[in-house]
Amino acid sequence: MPLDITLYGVQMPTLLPIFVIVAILQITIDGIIAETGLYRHVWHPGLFKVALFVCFFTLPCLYIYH
Amino acid sequence: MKNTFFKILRYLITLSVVGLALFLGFKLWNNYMNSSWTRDGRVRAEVVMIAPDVSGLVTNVAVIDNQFVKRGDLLFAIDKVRFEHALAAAKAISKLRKAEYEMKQNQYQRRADLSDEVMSEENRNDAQLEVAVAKAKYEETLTQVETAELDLHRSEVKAPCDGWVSNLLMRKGDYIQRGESHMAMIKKDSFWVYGYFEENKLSLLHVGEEARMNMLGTDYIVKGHIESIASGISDRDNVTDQRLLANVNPTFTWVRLAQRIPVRIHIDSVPKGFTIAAGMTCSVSIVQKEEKKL
Repeated sequence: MPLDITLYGVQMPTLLPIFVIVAILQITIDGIIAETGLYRHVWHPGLFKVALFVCFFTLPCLYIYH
Repeated sequence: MKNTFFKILRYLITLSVVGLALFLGFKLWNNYMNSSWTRDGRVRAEVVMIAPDVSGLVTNVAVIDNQFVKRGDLLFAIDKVRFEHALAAAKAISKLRKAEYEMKQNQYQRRADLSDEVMSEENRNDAQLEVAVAKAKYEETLTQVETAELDLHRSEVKAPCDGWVSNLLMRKGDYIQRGESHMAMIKKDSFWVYGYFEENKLSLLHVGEEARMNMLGTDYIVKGHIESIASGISDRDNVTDQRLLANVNPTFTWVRLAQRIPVRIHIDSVPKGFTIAAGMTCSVSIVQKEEKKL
């Protein structure tokens, strides 16, 4: 994976588009978890959501900066 | 009992995910900050500043902007008339001195042949020394002729190396001074990349390691290797004053940012179809020889 990505002639770190994609993914997953009622088994939903987002974001990024 | 189990499970799920997030986040931070790459890379080239060795009017600009020239090709010419006149004058003076020298030689010859009753020892010695003086004067004029020839020769400014003329602003009719640069030439095959690496990453880099340069806005990867690492940069907080005394900046920031140190990267291969130009931006990542020790 490249360190930088070029979108319409603008170069930015690959982390930026990954962040946007993961954010969209997070919203979807959040909706699914809320729908199935799994948040009942979670002590602190706010903290859980943030932690889940960090996990989803760092995994592809660690692939770039291995 | 069942209730307590679910309560503990709730804590367990949340805290384990938080723990995993902290671990991954820390790892990414560490990798991002301490891996050997920089987004701050620049393509550089050796630029020759062409200046004439003589002053005068430009009578001919033989190149056009961005033209490729070979070593020895004419770049521009300065009005020759003045130098031709100077050469003619120098030659005339040389002839005069030569005649004087010959005259003195003949004089000495005659005086040497005369007997002591007619010619004093002093006169004879003087005549001999006058020959030496005339000879030295003549030799001086010979170098003046050579200098005039050199000036005439240097009125045609030629390319010192293969390369491209860049940003040509000189026009026919300009008056240019000796030693004043009026033309920039980018030397062929002299491109290199300066990667500005944060100081904390410097010990990760070693001379000879492979470097990959991703050129801004393209998918082209230029390959190279580390040629050398700069041994010093200027201290921004200590600028000497006019009397050479230290001038230490009294403000010191709480948050310190790593300074950047230039690392010179030799370009080994440029991908086909890619036009390289000095000043281009690229991100540089170094492929490390040995596995990173964590």
